[in-house]
Amino acid sequence: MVSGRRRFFGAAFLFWGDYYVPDVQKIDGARRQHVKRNSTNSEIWPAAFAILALLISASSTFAQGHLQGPHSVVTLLSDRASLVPGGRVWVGVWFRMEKGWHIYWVNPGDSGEPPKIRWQLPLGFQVGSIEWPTPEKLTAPSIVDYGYENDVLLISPLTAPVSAKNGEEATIAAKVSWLVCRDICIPGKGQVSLTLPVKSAIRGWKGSASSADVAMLLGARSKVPKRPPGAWKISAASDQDDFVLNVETGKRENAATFFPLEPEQIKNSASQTATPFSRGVRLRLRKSDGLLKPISALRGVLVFGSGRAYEIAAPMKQTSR
Amino acid sequence: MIFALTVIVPAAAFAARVGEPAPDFTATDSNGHAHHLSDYRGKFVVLEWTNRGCPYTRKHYESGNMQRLQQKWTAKGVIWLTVLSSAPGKQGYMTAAEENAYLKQANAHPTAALLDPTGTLGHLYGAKTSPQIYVIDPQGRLIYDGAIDDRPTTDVADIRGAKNYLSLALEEAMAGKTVSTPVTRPYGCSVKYAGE
Repeated sequence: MVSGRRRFFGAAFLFWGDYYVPDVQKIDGARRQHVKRNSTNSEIWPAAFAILALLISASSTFAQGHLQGPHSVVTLLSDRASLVPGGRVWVGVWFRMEKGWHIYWVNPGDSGEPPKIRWQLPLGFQVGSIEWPTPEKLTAPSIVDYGYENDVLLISPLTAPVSAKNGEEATIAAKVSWLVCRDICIPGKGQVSLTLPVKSAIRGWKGSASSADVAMLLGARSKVPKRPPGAWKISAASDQDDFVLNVETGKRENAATFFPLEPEQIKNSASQTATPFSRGVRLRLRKSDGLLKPISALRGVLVFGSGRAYEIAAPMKQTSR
Repeated sequence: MIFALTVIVPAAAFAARVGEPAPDFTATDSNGHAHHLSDYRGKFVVLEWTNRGCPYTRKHYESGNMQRLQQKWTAKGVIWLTVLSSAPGKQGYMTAAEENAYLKQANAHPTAALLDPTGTLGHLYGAKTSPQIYVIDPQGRLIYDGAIDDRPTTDVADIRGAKNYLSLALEEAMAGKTVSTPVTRPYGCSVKYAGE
């Protein structure tokens, strides 16, 4: 949804040019829009959200960092309005692209580049690695990539040191570089930051961020592929030009798609053949033309027809082929 | 069974494999001359896929890096063929006149720029990105397929200090050694093939 073009110079940006302004004119307006969308469909809120909503403080008490990039807006969110010494919050870098534009997964596929987030934290603070949501397949003629269209929230856990003092202010900054594409690709680069106060835990007060942010961070966490149950049996075998992934969940699975974590193992543009059987599904994956040596395991995300997604590591069975 | 004969390339549309003979082809350059890979038996050949609008390609051209590599290696007798596989209407497509003007303006010196708007050559080699590099030895064997270097970014600052896989493959092969890194994941924008 193009609302106009304008030239934009900015100290925060390393480039200038014509931008299509996404239909979110103002970040605050967009977030109000987001909250409105959710509240009119209250049936989509699980009970937990409703409970949290009662404990929420206004979002205006802390700064939101946001950054306008090419065909995209980047925002830093957290699920708490304050930090507890030794405590953990979830932070997320939210990428919102204009319709039809996408960014990439950790393995971008045949082309593209995943976004990079370099955190700048006060002493003693630590941030964990990104928990990537289940990707989508992005197809173009002869090319298959993996990524996210329209919007994605990339979350990480942030821990405050035990030594953080009540009343201190912590500025959490992220240097973000990303590639946003549709039929062409444009790099974006900039910085977003948030300042959060440190508050020792007050009994009964959750200190959550706005209901919209909490909902978004929870939503993002639910989109991260899960660990498969221990009872599942997952393995892989090499069969000439293909790998065969054998997944036993205990029941028949009618459809499955595999997203590889490592590049140059499977041919991204080849179709994957799923063969259901009584205890699960077998998935045939064409090997990559760039695969030179045998591999010890196939690691990646397996998505079933229902959309349930799991992060798997399928050890390669040794065969003579 | 009916076979449609489009005898520009032999065999199937099977991608080239490192270690095997590089598929022969016929392609026309921006001056209307035909090139056959088999013409260059006895020489090293570099195939460089390009799309002037792609930020990864621009990193190497606006910095002069690609032009320096072209001059360095053609001076040592390497045949350097830049390939344009963008379909008409898509980013990177150039007419012969446009490509000649671009080569002049960019001070680029490939041996020739091959125009492949139907993507036939691209598909034959399985080219996925711009830039993407293939190196063929004087015996006609494909000895490198992949990225130009080991810094998959759009940042010009990443050129210095990067391991240049193209130069490394040529140096090693010219010294009679096995290429230590024969395949890498190429980085760049997708080749804009016709379709959809």
